[in-house]
Amino acid sequence: MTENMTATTDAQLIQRLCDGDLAALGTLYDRYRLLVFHTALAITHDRQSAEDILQECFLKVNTYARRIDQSLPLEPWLYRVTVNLAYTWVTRRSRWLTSLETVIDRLVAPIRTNSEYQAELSELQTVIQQAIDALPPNQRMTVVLYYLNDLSLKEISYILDCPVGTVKSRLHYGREQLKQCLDAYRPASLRPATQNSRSSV
Amino acid sequence: MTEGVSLDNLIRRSMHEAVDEYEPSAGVREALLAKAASTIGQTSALGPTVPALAEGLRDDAASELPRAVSTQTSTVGNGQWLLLTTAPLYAVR
Repeated sequence: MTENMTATTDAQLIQRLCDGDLAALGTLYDRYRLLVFHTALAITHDRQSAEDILQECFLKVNTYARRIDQSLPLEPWLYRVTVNLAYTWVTRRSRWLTSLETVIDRLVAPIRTNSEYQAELSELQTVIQQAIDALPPNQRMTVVLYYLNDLSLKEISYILDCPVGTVKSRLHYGREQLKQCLDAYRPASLRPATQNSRSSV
Repeated sequence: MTEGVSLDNLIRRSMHEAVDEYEPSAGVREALLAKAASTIGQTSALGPTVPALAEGLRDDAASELPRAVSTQTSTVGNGQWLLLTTAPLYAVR
């Protein structure tokens, strides 16, 4: 089964999907579900929404299978769909949520369902997540694609459909904002935990 | 420069730790394949709204077709067919 999955290329699976073979969609899902899910989760910080985006993304693979260029890798296409769906989610959410709900949401930190998952760095991670949440949607997408998915500026520019210079700019401002949040947080509670690393930071 | 590297590493590690342990629930795959299967039904000639129902109607229509044809051919000859088809129109008026 595993050998079969690795032997079958994405292009072959897309072709099988065009021929009406839904098992091919299942194989593509198994292959790329984490890539899509983790990206959506990093942007939304909401598990249910990330699962919705995951499902919607692969439904689009099924719907638009005939339009997908089989000579190109599938990953950038998947990233593009994921980011577009997540962008819609973020903008819709920011439009409808009141500021009070936003504050509560951040205090609750919905992604953290495991209470035991409270290592020393978890507080720092929460700060970083809140800082990422506070970024404008375009900067947030850029930061996630760059830091989580390790994509190059050129790849991000294709996915976000904007010039490389714009990606650089968004990354710069996003990074600066994260840095400010971390600087503001560090004196209060991180000082003992980062005693050693502060000399280099 | 060192500061930049540290900050980048911090952000990168934090983002990975925040999501890497999570997996989508198994129900997502099942729901996806079920929806995709129903989408195939939507492309049928019977209409896009209720694919499952359309499938059923198509099966019923296929089974009813020989009987309908035989009924028409047997009744047209004696004029009953015209009477039967026009009667409901008068009832509506």
